[in-house]
Amino acid sequence: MATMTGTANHSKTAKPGQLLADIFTYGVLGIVSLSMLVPFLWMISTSLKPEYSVFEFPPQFIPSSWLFENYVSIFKAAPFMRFLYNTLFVTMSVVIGQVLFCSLAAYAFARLPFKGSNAIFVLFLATMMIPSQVTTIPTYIMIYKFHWLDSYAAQIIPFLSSAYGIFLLKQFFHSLPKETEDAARIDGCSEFRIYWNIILPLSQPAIATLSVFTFMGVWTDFLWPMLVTNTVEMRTLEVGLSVFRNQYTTNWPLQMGASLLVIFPVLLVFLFTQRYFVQGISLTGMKG
Amino acid sequence: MEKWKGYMLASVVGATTLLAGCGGGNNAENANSASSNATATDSNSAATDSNAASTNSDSQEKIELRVSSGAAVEEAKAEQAAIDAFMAKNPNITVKYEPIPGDDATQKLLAGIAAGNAPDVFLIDSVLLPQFIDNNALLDLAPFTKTDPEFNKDVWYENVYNIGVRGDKLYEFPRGFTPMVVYYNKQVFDNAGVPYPQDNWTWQDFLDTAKKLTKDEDGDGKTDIYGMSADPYFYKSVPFVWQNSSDVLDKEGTTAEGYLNSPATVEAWQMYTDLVKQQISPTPSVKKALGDLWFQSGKVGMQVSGHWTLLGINDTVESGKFDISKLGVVGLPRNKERVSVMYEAGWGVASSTKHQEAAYKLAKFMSESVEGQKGRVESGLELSAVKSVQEEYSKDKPIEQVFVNEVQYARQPWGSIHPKWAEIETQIDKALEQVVVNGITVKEAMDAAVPKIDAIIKDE
Amino acid sequence: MESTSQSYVPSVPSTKLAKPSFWKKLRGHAVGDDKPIGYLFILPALIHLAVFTLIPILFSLYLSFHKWSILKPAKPFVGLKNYIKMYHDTDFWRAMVNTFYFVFGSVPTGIAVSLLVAIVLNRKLRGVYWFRAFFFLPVVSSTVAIAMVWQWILQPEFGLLNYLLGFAGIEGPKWLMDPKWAMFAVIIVTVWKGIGYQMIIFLAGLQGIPEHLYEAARIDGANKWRIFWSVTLPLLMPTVFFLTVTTIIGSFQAFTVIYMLTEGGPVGSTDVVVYHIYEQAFRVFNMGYASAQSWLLFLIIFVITIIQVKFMKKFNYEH
Repeated sequence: MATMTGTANHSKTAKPGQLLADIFTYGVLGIVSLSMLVPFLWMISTSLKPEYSVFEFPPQFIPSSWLFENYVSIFKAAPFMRFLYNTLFVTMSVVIGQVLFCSLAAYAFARLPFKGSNAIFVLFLATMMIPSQVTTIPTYIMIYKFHWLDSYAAQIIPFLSSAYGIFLLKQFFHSLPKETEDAARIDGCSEFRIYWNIILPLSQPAIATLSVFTFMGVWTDFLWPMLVTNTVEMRTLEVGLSVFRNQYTTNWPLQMGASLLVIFPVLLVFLFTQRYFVQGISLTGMKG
Repeated sequence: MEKWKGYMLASVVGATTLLAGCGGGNNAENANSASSNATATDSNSAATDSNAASTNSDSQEKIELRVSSGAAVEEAKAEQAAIDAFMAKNPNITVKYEPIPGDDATQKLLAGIAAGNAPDVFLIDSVLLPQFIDNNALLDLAPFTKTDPEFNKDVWYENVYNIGVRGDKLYEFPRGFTPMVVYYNKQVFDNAGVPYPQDNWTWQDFLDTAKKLTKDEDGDGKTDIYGMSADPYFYKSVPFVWQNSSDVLDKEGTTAEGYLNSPATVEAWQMYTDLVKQQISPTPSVKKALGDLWFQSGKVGMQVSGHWTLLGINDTVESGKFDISKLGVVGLPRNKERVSVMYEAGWGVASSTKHQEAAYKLAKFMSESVEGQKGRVESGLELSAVKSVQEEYSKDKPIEQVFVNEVQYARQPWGSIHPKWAEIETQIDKALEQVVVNGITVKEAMDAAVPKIDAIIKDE
Repeated sequence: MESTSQSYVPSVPSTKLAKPSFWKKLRGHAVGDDKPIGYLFILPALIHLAVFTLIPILFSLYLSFHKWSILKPAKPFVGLKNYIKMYHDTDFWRAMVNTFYFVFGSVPTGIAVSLLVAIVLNRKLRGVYWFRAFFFLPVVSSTVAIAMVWQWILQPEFGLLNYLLGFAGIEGPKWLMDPKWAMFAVIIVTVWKGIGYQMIIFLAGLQGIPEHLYEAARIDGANKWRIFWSVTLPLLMPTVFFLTVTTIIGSFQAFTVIYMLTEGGPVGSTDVVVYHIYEQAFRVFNMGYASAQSWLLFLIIFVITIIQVKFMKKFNYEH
């Protein structure tokens, strides 16, 4: 254990130094994590406040009264379960699509170089470099011409693969040992079988990482689903629960409560999968 | 400096010519799809025409309309109430309401218009009117008012109704609006033993009050209680320029020279921004929407704001969490003139609608129907543009009456008049920031801004 | 680590080798560098990219030579006018300089800090899962909440930071309201918000480093600092490369947090290019000009990315 502490460890000698270093590490970690917690705590406390006392100064992290009925108002204002269902369906579909299409392409870029593969890869990267502000409306027009407005298709299909995901997986595939694959090739395995039976199982940490990011991105996306949905029935949580603000004003307690309800599942996914993608099974496969 | 910019641009252009092959193909494709789209809509409208012809025989044509607005929960409820009432009165018209959650309603409206899929009727902020009118995105409603026996423009506050008027044309029916007023915290006044401001007060009264409220409680040379929160931003401070019988552009909006940098304009803003310099106002909050923050904390005695600051207060008062007796509202002070500014939004009809008459009816109904207006007024966002509704609501509410009284002095903002206003306002805000932050004089800042603004106006 | 190099090595001209039959190649049995079956693997992603990304992008290129108000279908051709306008737009170039300041202030700092955090949180510390979750919180917390809290912290007169500095006898600057400090403050908030995100990718990368390499280094008597430089960092280069490239691309286009904190002020000191693009597109309704600005930004990001790719290639040859 403690293999990679190099930078955080200022001790020259062994045991007492180690203890000091640990205390130091915990101290710094504690302070920094606290700063990370503050906005989140403020969201929780605001969601329980009466509207007019949101902006007290100094900020009150313990509400003077706990208005749990704020959450009742949130649930009453919108068909929460419908939003949850939509969000789950859209998010899961995109995650599956991303993992499949991105890993296929990434495998080719990492392991099956062909004529022009570098150029095509750079083309993929280049698509990330144009600000969405100028591509959103053209994409919207296209979706309209496909007659996809106000459907799941409009929320899923444009996101089924991404240059980002391909790049992420490609970098990971590069670091996989080649011995197993080469052996399989000599045995006459097709490239697809190698990809499916060898590469994918070895890549679970990277795939988990991509899945969590995709999950997070789609789950909390606002602008696009807002643009392409017209009816309440088609909306995702993030869009559906934005009904507590408009251009002019925001009902802060309800909006913060709604935001918490939206991000809560993301946090759960993170907590439950981090074991998986952080302490993945990659090590067992690496010792070839 | 100039050189490297040149290189960068040259290389973009170079790169794009390299791409011209596919770019050209794309153009052709675009032209193609545009024309096929045009024919599609043509045939579409032809279809509806023939449809209209065939159903006209029984004079009750079935029509479906879409209406959209950026709306939070209460507003959406109010709009739906108005729509239900409309459909009850017009059984042949089905109206689909598309409330847009969040604060990007404009982007959604733009995307819809760009795709040729605009809602028939939509809520439009008055500051977007000039661009929408210039680009023929809005239908002129005046011809319909002339043949409509029930039309009566006295239903609305006159100056509010006039925001949508251009000569003999009319582009929107007002929904709601708010004049800017001064909010004050009575607690701060009581603690300092300063009398509350009175209606029709003057600049001198205003400055005296602000100074008296300002307190350095621990004697460290820094203010602890501020008299006034003087955000220098244009949308809040322009009434002071008008109060000095001045303006920022000439009447036709063709130049800023001699207006933005005129002595009267400079004097007004110098008075306003000096409040920050003299530590009577805290450093302005950068984020405009958070301006209310310091006022509500009881560290600031007064601030300029609109009706939206009251939003939600009613709920809070009912739950006993806020003592509304602490809150005071008074009209803006006067100097050479008494004047305020108002911000408004109203219902317009898309020029692309296939049912102009029905859409006109709906827009008018959304605006004047008591069903919709009542719910909105109660939600607290804004004043109703319909006189009877607003006056009924304000009857026993002194704070509301201050707003109603201010309406006669409220002028429509430049944003609802000038199609280039978004860019011009950015420049004025930057100039005002320079005054507050860099400490240059208003005269210097405005002299520097004038050529930039005139260039924006001239650029086509 | 030997692996990253090969993707950037231009494929060896296949004429050198005896040409195997097309079908053999397609099944991936060819000896040599050209494996046409790769086309099949990228086909789904490529088609998807072409339809949903390339068409809108090329449309924006087309628009950059036209005038389009969004509100009406007419898009008159204006030649280079949008680009010439950009050349003379002093506010835009000011924003470009700010953008560079922002990118090169936030990206290296962010990567260094999150690498440090990832290394610390890769140990089997007590409560490490909780710490990781805390660092992840700002990634998902609402931007509004983050902006709100930081505005409180950084407010000149009542803010927490200046209050604390006051104890140390320092009179803090006006942070977000001071043109000299605003961008610095914005960079701090950006780095702070991004740590959790980059940390996760680093953690995944660190997991890929085989334990036996560390053991070997320890047997050789290397100290921890040395292990970091000669084992951890080189093996982490694919991850560092990935993060640098994607974060630079993202940072050139960042504006939500900046906008929430400062709206580009004070006096334009935190004004960034994408905010201009947004403003031209959705407040001024000048989509043509917004597209021209986007294409210049594209070119800049593209060149910087290519430089990184080349640099990475060289780096790999050296190892």
